[in-house]
Amino acid sequence: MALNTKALVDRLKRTGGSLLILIVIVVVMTLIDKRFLSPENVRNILRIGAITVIAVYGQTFVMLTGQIDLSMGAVASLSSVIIGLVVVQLGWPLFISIIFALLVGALVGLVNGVLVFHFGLPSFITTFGMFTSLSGFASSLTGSTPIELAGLCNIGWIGRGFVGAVPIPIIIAAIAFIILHLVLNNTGYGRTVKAIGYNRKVALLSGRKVKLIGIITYVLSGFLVGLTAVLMSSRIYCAHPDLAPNLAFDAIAAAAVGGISMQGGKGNLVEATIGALIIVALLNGLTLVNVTTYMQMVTRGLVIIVAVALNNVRTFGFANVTGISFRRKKVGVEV
Amino acid sequence: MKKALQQRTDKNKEGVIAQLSRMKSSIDWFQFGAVGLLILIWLIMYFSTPHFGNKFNQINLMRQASVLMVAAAAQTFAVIAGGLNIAVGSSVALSAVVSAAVSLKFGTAAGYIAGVLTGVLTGFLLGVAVGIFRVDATIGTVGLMAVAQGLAFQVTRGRPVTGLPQTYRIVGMGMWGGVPILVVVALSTIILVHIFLSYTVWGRNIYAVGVDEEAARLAGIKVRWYKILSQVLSVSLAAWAGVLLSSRINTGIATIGAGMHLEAIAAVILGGTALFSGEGNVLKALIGVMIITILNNGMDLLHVSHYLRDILLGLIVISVVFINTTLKNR
Repeated sequence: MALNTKALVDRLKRTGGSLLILIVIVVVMTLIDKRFLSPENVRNILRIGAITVIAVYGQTFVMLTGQIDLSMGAVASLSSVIIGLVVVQLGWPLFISIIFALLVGALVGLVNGVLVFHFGLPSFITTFGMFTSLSGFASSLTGSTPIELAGLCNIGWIGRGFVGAVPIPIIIAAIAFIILHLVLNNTGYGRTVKAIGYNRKVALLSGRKVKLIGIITYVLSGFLVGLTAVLMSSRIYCAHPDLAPNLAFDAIAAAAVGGISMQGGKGNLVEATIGALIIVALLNGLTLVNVTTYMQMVTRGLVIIVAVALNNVRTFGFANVTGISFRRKKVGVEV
Repeated sequence: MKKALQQRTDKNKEGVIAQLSRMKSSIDWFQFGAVGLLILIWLIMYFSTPHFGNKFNQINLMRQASVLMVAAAAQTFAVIAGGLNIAVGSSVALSAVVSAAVSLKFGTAAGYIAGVLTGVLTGFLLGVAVGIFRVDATIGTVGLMAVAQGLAFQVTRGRPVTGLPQTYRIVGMGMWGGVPILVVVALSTIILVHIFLSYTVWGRNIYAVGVDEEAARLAGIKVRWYKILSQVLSVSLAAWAGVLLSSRINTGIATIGAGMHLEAIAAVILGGTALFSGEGNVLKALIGVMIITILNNGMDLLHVSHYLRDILLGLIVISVVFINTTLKNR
């Protein structure tokens, strides 16, 4: 097999920037606090990273189609609450409750997808409305109190268990990566996802089933958020109506830092993975040096804005994006 | 060459003008529906709760509407610029706590000014990201939402700021010959904004940039500057709403704006504005503001739980956008 070196170099250039950011964060955090690179902390980062990255994959797929999913935090809460209700109220086994959680995620994704792709509603406002509604719904189901699961079922092994020395979430994330990576790059579905984001009209005119593919993408995203919720709930042994309110922020920030284009069409899961690691490492490091959760929230926001700005600069060049040129303008050239 | 460019520019200018005038004539029955809905909700609330119709509650209603009115004006700016300001609620929260905290030390006037200045500052940062670095405006506000919310909690460490100076609540709770001062202030803000948007060159240029950036550029409008300006004005107005709100409740609480994110959007789209098309009108949003406020007030009186209200608000927004979109695509 002939190696396509040009493509490889291109890819390295694209991911190199975000990889560099990750390395800088690791080095700086280690210099500030040695505990950052201790085996326990690294394992912790990887485990949380593995849980987060699954949601990031969902967001990445949606963003590749040129849309966005702001409802993630609420979907995760709802899925988590469903696990608790199925186990506690119905007394059904854990296995079934997990299936329910995944289905709930997929169902919300279906609603989002139909609204956005079939009826053509703007995704920002639709998924934001969904976020508000579902947050209220999840809280109302439990009266805003978490449901303790520790004594009721052995949910803990999913989020906390090991196979050999490898935490189970990492294995799940790795499987998700392999499957989704293959789907994105080697199937007609994956190519259409990118095509829709790149130019929806062209995708439509070339006979792609834009609406169907878009809806499937939202379902996939919802399903992946459901999976994230299962892992998160398992890690804290309870079903929580306020499980991860910032999940959508984290996912968007991670995708943006990784280099996924906000306009859609450009990006891959390697970038998404690096982005997720950057966000998790950053937040973990900030926790280590006693930065408040409030300032971590601020950091998330700044990261989103700065990352998108950097992406634009990286893709189009500083002068083209900002219109600021440090070179002397040539005189006498008419526009 | 120059002539060709001139022709192209003229053509684009005509296009922008045609689009703008089309907007003006697009007062359709969606708005009649909204007014009908407003009256219907008012009547339902009037007959289902004994206290809704009394004078005190109606004055209270006007006060509640005032703050949302200004927040909706903030949202309108973002919508006209072609985006959406998801951060209205957190900008409200940030300026509310900053204004309250500063007024504790330096007095009321300084507090108000500091509150608005936080908006100008954060709005400028957002504007630079959007105008200079071409960050998508809506994505930018997603970031700003996290930033402002985090800062609001950080400033107060999550505790409400109370014990404000006596004068702090005058704007929010004072009366001026039978009319709440807050209502006067909010209405004058709205009118000023409307005059700015409709009758000044800057305002018209903001519209033009929102409708078609490229056409606006060819027509000689400094696109980047107007993009920055619209973000600054949007966030500053949200901050002004925050100051008014903190004055009304005489406290600065970081959780204050949580509901307002969506309410401001809901008010604008209930007024019949289609999102992401560069249209928008502050006065149109007034109908939406009244609907949302009456719903909130009525549900308070009916002891509807907060969860249910969230669920309802989300559903309202989605269904209104749904109606709006399907009408447009008909």
